[in-house]
Amino acid sequence: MLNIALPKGRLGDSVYQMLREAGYGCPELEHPDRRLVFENPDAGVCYFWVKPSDVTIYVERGAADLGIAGKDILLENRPELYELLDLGIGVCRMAVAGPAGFTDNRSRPLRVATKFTRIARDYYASLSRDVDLIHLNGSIELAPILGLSDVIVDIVETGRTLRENGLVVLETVCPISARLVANPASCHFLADEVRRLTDALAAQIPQKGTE
Amino acid sequence: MNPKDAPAPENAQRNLLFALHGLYRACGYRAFRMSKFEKYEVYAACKDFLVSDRVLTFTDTDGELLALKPDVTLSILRAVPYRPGITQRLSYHENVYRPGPPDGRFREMPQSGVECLGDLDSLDVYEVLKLADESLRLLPCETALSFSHLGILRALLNRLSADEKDRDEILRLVAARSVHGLSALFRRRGFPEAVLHSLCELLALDCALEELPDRLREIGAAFPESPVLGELEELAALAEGDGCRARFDFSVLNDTHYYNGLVFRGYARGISDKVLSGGRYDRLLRRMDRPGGAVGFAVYLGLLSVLNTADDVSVDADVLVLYDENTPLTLVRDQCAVLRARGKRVYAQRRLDDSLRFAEVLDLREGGKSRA
Repeated sequence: MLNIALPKGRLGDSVYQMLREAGYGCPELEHPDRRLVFENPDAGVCYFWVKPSDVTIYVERGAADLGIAGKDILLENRPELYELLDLGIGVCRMAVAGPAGFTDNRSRPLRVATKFTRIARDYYASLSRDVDLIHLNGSIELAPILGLSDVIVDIVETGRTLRENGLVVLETVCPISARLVANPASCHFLADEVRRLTDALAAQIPQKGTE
Repeated sequence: MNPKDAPAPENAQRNLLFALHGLYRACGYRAFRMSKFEKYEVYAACKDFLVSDRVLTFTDTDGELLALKPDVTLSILRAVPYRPGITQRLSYHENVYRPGPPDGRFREMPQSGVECLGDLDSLDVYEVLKLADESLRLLPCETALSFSHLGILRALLNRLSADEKDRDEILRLVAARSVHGLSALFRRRGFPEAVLHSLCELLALDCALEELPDRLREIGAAFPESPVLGELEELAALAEGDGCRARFDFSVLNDTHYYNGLVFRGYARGISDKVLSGGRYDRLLRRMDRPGGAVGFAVYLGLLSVLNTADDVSVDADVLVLYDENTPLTLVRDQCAVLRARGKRVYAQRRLDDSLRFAEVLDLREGGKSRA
């Protein structure tokens, strides 16, 4: 039996559709109630919904053998996991955004508001740019509007929220999409099961991955 | 084993330690005991070889800066000088102090292991791999041992004009078994398709040590310019029919700053992290201007506590022996001895304690009216 951590929300729903098409459906999960764990012994899978940012914790600690996590979470937390597939869904990008016409004043540190401090730090280190990182947990777009920061580093999908707040994408940091991740120990003790599911899921990938 | 017959957790841990030491002693490994502290300068000179460059330090009464040892190998290398033509085998059980997962805070980590130092041949290296396998077999659960050889990856990387950053990225992607990530990187950088193909084939390869040289030839990864194949052939010949369970897993890299040849990792079912790690680390010797070779491994005993399922936590002791001022103390002593001889955990006390739980009560109050 493979324990699989699915991220709650739209991404999790899309991934489950792919898993169902791959032969790993779970009828119980399609008629949701208040339960958190859904099992299909015939398919050899047990699914549970968790907060997207917690998926890697469940997999890294071995509570889940497999999970679906965004590349943003993997880059930010760097868990010791296998990253077996780029699922080609949940495609977006990590970007630097700021007011239209923004010009970087390199005579002082750049103030950057973000939820992804590690990604932002690494990105600016690669540019040798001195930054003042401001960690926020939400409503990141507010920071440059209120003068808390010069720019933000955040996930951009359509760019609509940015536009509505007078912000534009200034630079792309890296592309993001959903990844199938696995616990290394599980890959040793459930090698055949993991390989079968990975191959079946790979056949469902809608388009070429982003990384 | 019936849980009731299983040893208590502390005994299980001790038994495992005895068994590991017995195993290492049987292969000629001498027990090596070291101080809890080392001069800080020992680690300062080799920070890039440590798992973490953060070390717990304190100033001794004479003003000398000391460190709680974050690593065992450096201490052993300092204490055991190189002797030409000789192989020295040492085993240890020590606590190390370094930041660890999940929160990166300092922890005390007990570990047992072996170090084989000197002018090594393939038998020395194979024996350490086999000892790693036999160490895992002593654990009370299903275990697995994976290995790779960093020379294979190095030979492939030498075919690329990749800078340090790209090489690090390739190592990270190999360790994560990220075929899609490797493909994207090779596409971006215009690296040769043939090298990518070999990397992907190697990541898909799962075979025993004795099969590896042939499998490498099949997939075109037996590089004539590299001495790796010859070394693997010698190891494969030693593994033939010897029952070593090690399986090839190209994603096993361990620390590439530290290791340079055969590398391996052990896993135990029920534990999410690796429980054993080791390999050949001649690079560290070169940094210390020391000739010869070195190979070893550590078993991370702290992780194994989750395997302790023998402890019956539903009760604090099997029998509570109750007595009062009228009970002869010799009677209490003798009754406890009888129960303990029957394998019971016994707790003698003058009154009932609501905070403790017992399976049964032997009431010896009022002069000892009942007996075990």
